[in-house]
Amino acid sequence: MSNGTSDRKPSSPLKDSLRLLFHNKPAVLSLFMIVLLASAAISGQLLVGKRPTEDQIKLMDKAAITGDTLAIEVKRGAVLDHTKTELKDTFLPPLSESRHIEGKVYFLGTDDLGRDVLARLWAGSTISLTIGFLAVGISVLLGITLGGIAGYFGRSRVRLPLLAMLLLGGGGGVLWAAEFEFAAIPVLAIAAGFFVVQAVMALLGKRFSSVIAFGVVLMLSLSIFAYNSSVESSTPEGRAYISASQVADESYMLVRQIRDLGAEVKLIEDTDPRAKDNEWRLAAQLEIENKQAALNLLLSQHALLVHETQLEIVERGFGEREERIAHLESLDLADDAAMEKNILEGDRKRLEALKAKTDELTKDITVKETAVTATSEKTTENLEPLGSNALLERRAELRKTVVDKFRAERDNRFETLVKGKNLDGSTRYGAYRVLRHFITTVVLYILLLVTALLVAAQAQAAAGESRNIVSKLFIPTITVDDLVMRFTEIMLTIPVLFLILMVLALFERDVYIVMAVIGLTSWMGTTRFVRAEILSLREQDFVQAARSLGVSDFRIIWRHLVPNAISPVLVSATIGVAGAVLAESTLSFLGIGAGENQDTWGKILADGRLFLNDAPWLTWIPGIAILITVLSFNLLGEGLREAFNPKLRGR
Amino acid sequence: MLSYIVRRLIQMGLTLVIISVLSFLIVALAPGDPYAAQLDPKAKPSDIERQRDQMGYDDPVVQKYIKFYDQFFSDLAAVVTGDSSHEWRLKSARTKEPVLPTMWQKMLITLPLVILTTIITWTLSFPVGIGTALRRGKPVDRIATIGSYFLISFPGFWLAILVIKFVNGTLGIPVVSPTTLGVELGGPREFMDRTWHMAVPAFIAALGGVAVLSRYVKGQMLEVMGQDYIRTAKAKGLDGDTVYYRHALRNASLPFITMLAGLLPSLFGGSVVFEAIYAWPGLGRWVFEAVLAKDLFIVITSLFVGSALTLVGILISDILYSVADPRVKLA
Repeated sequence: MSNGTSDRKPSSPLKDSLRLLFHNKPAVLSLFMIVLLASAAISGQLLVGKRPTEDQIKLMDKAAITGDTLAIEVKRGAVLDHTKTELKDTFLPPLSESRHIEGKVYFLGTDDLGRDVLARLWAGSTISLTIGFLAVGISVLLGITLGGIAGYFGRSRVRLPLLAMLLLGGGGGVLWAAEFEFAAIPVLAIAAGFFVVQAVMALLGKRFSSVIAFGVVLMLSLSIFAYNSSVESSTPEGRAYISASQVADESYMLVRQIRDLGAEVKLIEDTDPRAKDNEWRLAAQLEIENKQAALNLLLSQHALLVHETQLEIVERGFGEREERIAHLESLDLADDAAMEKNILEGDRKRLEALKAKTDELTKDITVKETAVTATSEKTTENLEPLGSNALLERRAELRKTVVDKFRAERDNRFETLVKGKNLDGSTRYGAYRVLRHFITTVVLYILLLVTALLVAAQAQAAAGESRNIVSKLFIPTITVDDLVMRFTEIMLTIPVLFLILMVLALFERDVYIVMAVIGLTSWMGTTRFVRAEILSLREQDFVQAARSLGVSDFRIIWRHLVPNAISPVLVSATIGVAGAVLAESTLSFLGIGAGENQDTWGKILADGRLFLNDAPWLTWIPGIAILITVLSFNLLGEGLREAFNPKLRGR
Repeated sequence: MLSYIVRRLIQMGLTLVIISVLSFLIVALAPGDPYAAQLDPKAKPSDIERQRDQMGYDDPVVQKYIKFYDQFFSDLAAVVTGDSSHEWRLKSARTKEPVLPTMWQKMLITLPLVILTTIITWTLSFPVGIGTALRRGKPVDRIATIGSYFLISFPGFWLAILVIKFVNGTLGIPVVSPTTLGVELGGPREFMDRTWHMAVPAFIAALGGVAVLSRYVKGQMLEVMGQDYIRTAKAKGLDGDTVYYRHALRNASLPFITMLAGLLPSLFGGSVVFEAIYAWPGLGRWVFEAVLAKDLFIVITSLFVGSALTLVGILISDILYSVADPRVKLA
């Protein structure tokens, strides 16, 4: 190896690697294919995005009635729309001409619904490749970060109190965000108690800066939180939501209370049927009655709020519909405009009817208010004790009519967050407001957590400085390396396929969830070899030299370690894309990957499976597309591996 | 050695606790109501309430978690000890079948398929790997390399349905499901029928493994053959077979002991994909159907058991490795 280098000009390792890569014919071919596929993926989204608008379709339909059929069909056919079903040109083999539209050729044939296979494949390439790249992006990012931390900072030790606070605070926050308040409250309480101890320790050690920072962030978040909730309650939608979640919580608590009483009553009935009325049982029953009355009042108030919201939504809709009518009239679509006008009239009538209902609802509230005072004056003396069966039915009734309904309404809020839908199904400002509320809350919580950790860090530093042997003994530590690698080992143990299946069992079918799961469960290999690479690199002379020159950690990592450790990451990422594309198509084929409107290659293949004998191209074409993609990434990865291998360099 | 195993067992226990918490949390934190899918919609409201009480529907998450694993371990003890009088506590709410005994039955159905797949994989990849390593750069090696790339990249599910079409359509031999349904065959014909039904999915499932494993074997062989002791063996005049099979192969096989770790969980999971396509009523398909029906108890149980088996497999392979390679010291 060394004798060959003497008669050649010296060149950089990168140039050597590239030269090797470009001498590898399969790798070059794969690279070419990947570029082609990537451009198909990008252009596919652009082309598919150009679907005819509602108005265009209406104009086309109008022209179709007047007789200009062919022109319209061609115009429609020209738009590359993979979702369009023509139901005319079904099962045309590749390269065949349309039976209806002159000059239109289906290069890859059509499927059972008359969809152009080329268009579906083209559109599918966007999703399939995006999934591959994003999944690998997530896994590489996680892998490099964790591996880098474990490799470079591996020897430093984390104090377990810090870790405990991070876990308690973070876990409590997640629980709270998922609306498991009853589980979150004890966790957060422990975290808060823990924090108070740390803050006192920091203050005793005369380290004020972090405590002050925490105080500032706390004040900031409280004021923003107050502002957010004031904005929230200033619109009827926000108020309706708040009262819906209040009803959901209250009614659920009531159901649980009835359940607990029912269990006790059942116990009494089973052991001693004659023991009908003891004092505590009646007292519990009375409390339930009171709460029921309060809940009824709350329900009436909520009904009024929802009513007000509906009023506002209808009024808001008027302006928009008037604009729409003007627009349709300008397009000469008189029929459609008339239809819109009819709807507008209907809405006007609805508004009148709604307004008439307002008084009724207000009256209902006063009735419920008097009922609350009436039940609060009741005593246990003239109360008939309820049996366990009666309690059971009462609970069932309450759950069916109130709890389920309001929990669904509150969960709709989750939909609002995720999908940007408003209470009335529109995507106007309400959704943005909700999203802003969510984001500010999350960001502020993370800020609070970080400053709390800083306080704890200062407290630990103060404790470490003091010569007090007790404070030193009581602070166990763990190395960063241990921490990261134990976590990696746990993740390696979980069977990924079962984990994917479990997540898919819980969420709606969505290919991006599949992507996230693939990404989040495939970073462990990268972590391991990045760590190993950095461990060996950081001991090398050039890194030691840089360190002795006083170069900062950050600069050493970016200038010396990352460029040297990046090549194996690149190789595994390239091969990882192949794996992710294959995994996604397999899951979509099984019907648990892609969602309803997501036409991935695996799903196209699954659709064609039914027509294996009549239309074999429906499975062969997506199959070959997957094969070529996966093969290209695998071959390129192998080419990169050879090109980067120092043993092969310079040959 | 003993202290090492004890320490590893403690670590494994901790890992399992974390996995159990994580898997339960995913269920608890998911949007929607996972327990609702398990209720009988036709029952009276008060009966549904009773079902909910039995399930612990209104309990806090922690209580649900404890209840679930309490049921799981009491059933597990009964499965392990073969206690036939045990009343099964962990039941699928959908089918009312006890989870762990059913899982055991399904595992027995999956077992022959997985064993056959493993045998095919290992018996094919070693000769291919060794052969290509000894003939490096020759046409055989190139063809094998190209072939293995194609096999690695081939979507297995597509290959599976193409093979079904070929064997079933062209050769006229039914291969889907473990036996041909609705036909009473006897004697050798039934044996052949069963063999076809098992061999085809096993072979298709093995192909991907062969492609990966043979390349790995080849790499190991090449690495070992570059070592000094092989050169020494050649220099002292040993014949090729002795050098390759007694010196090189023995040392090259060492890393494959770690692959035994993967066998244990695969005995459990088998291949969900191929079981789903070939309608093999084994464990993988069972879990897959549970996923589609949102039958959470089955899914959590399988995740937990699968993780536990993986952990045990890793421990066994570590111990085997130290036995096989005296240079490795367990500490």
